[in-house]
Amino acid sequence: MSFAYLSKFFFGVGALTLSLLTSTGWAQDASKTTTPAQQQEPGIRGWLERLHEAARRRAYVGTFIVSNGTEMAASKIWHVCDGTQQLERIETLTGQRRTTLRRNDEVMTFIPESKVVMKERRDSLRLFPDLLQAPGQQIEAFYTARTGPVERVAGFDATVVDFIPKDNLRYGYRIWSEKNTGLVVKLQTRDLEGKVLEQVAFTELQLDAPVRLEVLARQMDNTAGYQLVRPEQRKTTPEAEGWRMTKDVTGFQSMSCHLRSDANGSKSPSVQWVFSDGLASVSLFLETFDPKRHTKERAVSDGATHSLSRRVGEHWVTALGEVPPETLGLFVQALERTR
Amino acid sequence: MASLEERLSALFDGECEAAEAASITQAYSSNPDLQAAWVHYELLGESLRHGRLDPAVGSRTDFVAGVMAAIQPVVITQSPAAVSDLPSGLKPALTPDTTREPAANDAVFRWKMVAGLASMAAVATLVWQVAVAPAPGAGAQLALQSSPAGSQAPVFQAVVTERGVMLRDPQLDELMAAHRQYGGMSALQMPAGFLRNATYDIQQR
Repeated sequence: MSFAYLSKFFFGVGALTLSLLTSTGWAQDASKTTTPAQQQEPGIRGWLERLHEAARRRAYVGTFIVSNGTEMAASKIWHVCDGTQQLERIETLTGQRRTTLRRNDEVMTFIPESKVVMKERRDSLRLFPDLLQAPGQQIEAFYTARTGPVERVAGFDATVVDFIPKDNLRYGYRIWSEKNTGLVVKLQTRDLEGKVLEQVAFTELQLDAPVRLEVLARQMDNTAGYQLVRPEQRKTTPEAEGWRMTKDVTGFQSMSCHLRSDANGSKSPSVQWVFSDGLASVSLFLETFDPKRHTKERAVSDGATHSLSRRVGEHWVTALGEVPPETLGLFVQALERTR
Repeated sequence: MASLEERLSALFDGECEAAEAASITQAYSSNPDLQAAWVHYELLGESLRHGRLDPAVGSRTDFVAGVMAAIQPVVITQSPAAVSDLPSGLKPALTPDTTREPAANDAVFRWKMVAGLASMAAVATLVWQVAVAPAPGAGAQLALQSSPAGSQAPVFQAVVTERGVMLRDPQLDELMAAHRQYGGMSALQMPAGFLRNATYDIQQR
């Protein structure tokens, strides 16, 4: 048995015993000590800018784990930037073999099994900082930032910061931000009781790794042996598709609406209408009701992501997002056809 | 060769190389002992950080087993009452323990069931809940599809994966993939969301 493992075992037994015997009073005293960071609270905007800045300035290589209970997925990540552009390579280590290469908002997804590479631009990667500056998008109205102590993640000291929701229509986030660079090294999505619904974290991280930008750029442009596919994203508006929300779901703004190329081969296209409150997003999938495919109304949970499917008149609606199920219900209830 | 638990411990401490991380995360999905160990490490971390442990959580050493025993399968009914209830409110569809009459056919769906820790623990408690009711107007068709022999509804596929047999709904999987692809409209997308979405396993379409 390794020393690290043994020491953790014995330390764990001791610590648990000590903590169980400890009175609440001691815990309260411990929480009174403030760090210099707490005395000068940056606020949620300040924190978001810091988290973004880290990705713009530092190169790193790491192993990244996503978990939501008993399901875990892992990937290896290479990230490099030169001040104006960011390049990233994400290689899945579990499940379907897949390599994603990103240059700013341009994304190439290589799937070795089918020899297909998908090339697309992701709006969601262009959002910041405009997302915070959009009129009506007052993220502070719905979340508060609270800085916590410093903890160690993947060998680095990280400041813990909580983004706490101000109502029960959304989830909270606990972020571990590397102390010097601001890089997100761990992030949890938490419900109102503090229960962790999903966690992403670096389990191994090398900051300022010697990743060469031109190497990643070459990998991205090398599609030899792969069939290049450009998924269509036909932009539209909810009005053009005959939909409207009778009532806003507090905090959520309409962000985009597009027609989906229907994999089922059905003649009527389906629509994806995306909403966001700045941190959480909800997709409404709207399609014509088809009794052969739409047989069961259901509510499904998968970690932090919930879905709700139901028939609305002659249409079938699936609301999906990282929000409490009740919030999805509000979206579906507020949907209305205009023709 | 280090034991599985030692290797998990190394993963937790960030002392694990990529290939090792891959093999451990794969083992994790089908190994309740590893899942309980992860929970233990998170609990330990919380107690060290905050100097206290939620007594309710700390005493539940067999919490995982207890939750698994307590989870009841969701039983679907095809009674007309359930159908007419739906338009007036969503609660019946969302509450897994709504009393329902057992269906005559085998209509018990369990997409996936997972146990974890609540509150103080830093590991998710995840219960896949599938509360299902027939869509209005599809009742007759559903009756034909659901034979007394107890076959699964045609919508779901039993898929053998490295994580064991899972019931998957290809339609929902596709929407989930589309949401991860185009729905990440979040200020957290650049710092972490994009990495998360690119890491998640997706079903081959």
